[in-house]
Amino acid sequence: MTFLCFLVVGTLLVVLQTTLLMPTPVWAFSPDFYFIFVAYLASRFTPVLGLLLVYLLGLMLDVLVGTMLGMFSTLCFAGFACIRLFSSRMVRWDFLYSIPLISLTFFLLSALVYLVFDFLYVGQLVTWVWWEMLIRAALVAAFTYPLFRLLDKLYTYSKNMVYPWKRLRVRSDRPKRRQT
Amino acid sequence: MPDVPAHAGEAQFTTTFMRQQLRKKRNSKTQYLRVLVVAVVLLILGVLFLVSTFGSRQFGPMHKIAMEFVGPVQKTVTATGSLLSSFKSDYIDSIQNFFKLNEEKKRLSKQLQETEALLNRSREAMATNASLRKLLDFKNAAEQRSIAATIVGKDPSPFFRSVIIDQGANSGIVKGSPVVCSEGVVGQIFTTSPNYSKVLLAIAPSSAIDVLLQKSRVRGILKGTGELTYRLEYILKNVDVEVGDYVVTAGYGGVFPTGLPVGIVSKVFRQPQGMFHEIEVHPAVDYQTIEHLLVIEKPNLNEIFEQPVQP
Repeated sequence: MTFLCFLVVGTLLVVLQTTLLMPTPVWAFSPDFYFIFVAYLASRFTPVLGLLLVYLLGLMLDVLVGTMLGMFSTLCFAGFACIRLFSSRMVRWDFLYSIPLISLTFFLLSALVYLVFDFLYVGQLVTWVWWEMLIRAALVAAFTYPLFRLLDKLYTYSKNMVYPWKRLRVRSDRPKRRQT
Repeated sequence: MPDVPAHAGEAQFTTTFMRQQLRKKRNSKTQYLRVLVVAVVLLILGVLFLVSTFGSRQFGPMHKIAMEFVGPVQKTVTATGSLLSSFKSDYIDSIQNFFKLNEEKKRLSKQLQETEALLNRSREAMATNASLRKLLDFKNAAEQRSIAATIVGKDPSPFFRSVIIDQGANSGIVKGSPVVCSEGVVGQIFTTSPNYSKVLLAIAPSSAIDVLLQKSRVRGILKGTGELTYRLEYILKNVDVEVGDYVVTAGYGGVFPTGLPVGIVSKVFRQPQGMFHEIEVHPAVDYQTIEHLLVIEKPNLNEIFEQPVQP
């Protein structure tokens, strides 16, 4: 159920980003919520569930964003792998410590995308503009903490929620099995 | 290994404890192996998927399903945003504008007079045009069917320039169909799903449109820059180009109809080296405010070629 909750939240974040948070087709101040979401999945979820959610999110982004299929799937996958690697290696992984790391990962991965496309598909992407990319990285840093807090509350709530099928569990009169 | 205690009870406890520890170790190893296998399988599937689709521009079945799933949500959110915006302009802004009514009335009256004068001149020009066409035995192209659409989503990435509209293959839209609005050319249909389509805007770097300078009728290629301007290429240096010249579609290749407004020349860079001018064109369309579009039905070239040639 946590998986489904986060799938719905991920979809809503992508939809918000492509509609209300993008008032015009050319807008440099759209926050990249999808990357913050991927970073949260990397730091909180198990690898299997996290990768599955990242895959579905990447698929949605490929459909709604851009003209090159597979690009956002690769970007989300790479972001997931990097954040997961850093979070497992760091002694203390707290939201506040993760902010500069996530922002820097986003900036470096975007730069890598431009580098790759400059070699493989010349003239496909909008020209790299330093100030625009720095603003985007700053927006990622600004929204990481509040979004992480929100997602953490959702995670806790979805884990502790009592679902109807759990309520229907019939208590048996047999003694409980010893935990081995 | 711990020392075996002397008493039988303690020995039994220790053996059980050791068995439990061993079982835990095996379970954690098995669990780790299981996670590793699943992750590797997912990684291989992901890489295969990426390799097969990376760089592709065609939507597969999964992409179409994803678009049909997300499209209605985008449409709902966009409609809600438009409703709130119109409520603000209808009720809240009107209160602010109440005290400016007199000035607004004068401005509108003047604008109406100018528009009426322009209309009269246009009628005269149309009449002249009709007679000249008749004289030259010029065959007008049949009016092409167009489909109205609304933008429901915009590309938020810094890499591309595209929008999503709420009409798709079910409405007769095909890949490559030109997209226009009342002001001029907007772009081209890039991919479609049954009920939604993605439009590659003309300001995208990967967009290229065949155009003419209206004054000199010289042909060039209009490319997007990623910002709110175009770049007109392959105009030779001996061609007379000035700021303010109109740029329209050339109509070659059967993609865009001829004569659609594209933009106005805003800058001309006359470099000493090279064969061509460097021309910047200001779009006829205001990309910051477009909302409603028209998708022109692409003519079926096979039908045109199969038509009998009149002697």
